[in-house]
Amino acid sequence: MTKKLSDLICVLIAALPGRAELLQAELSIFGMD
Amino acid sequence: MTCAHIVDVALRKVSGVESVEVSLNKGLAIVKLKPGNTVSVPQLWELLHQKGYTPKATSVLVRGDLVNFEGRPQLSVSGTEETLELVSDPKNASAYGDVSKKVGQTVVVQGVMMPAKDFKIRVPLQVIQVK
Repeated sequence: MTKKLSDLICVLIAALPGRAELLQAELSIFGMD
Repeated sequence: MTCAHIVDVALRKVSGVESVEVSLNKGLAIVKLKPGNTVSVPQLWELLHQKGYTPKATSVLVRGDLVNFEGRPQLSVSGTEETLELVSDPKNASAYGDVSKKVGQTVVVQGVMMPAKDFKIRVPLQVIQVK
C-alpha cells in the first residue's frame, strides 16, 4: 500500500508543470578506441 | 569486448536511459533519456570515469524552467535537484540574450557542458540555443 502510494506520488510529481529533465547528451570521450 | 561496447553497456544500465549510440570514429556517445528521468550529466561523466575513460565537452538538450537567481539566469532542473547556471557562449551571444527574455517560462536549452577535474563541482551550461 505504501509502495503504491509512493509510486502514485512520483507519477503526480512528474506530471507537474515546471519539471525539468535532461533530454539528450552527446558525450565526447577521450581514450575510446 | 571493445571499448565502444563497454561504454554502450555501462550507459544503458543507467536508470532513465532510453538509447545509446556510440561512434568510435567521432569518440562520441549519444545518450537519449526517457521522459521523467533523473539523470544528470555529471552522473554520466562519473560513470565513464569509473570505466577508465575521460569525458570531454558534452552537448546537451535540457528542458526546464528559466529562473533568475541573484541576477543570473539559471535553469531549474528539479528532477535531479539540480540548478544549472547558464552562461553565454561567445559564438552564440544572441541565444544568451533570449534567456533573459524567457525567464519564468519552460524552455528547452541546447548547450555545452565542460567537465571539471572534480565531477562534483558544478559546471555552467553554455547556451547555444533556447527553444
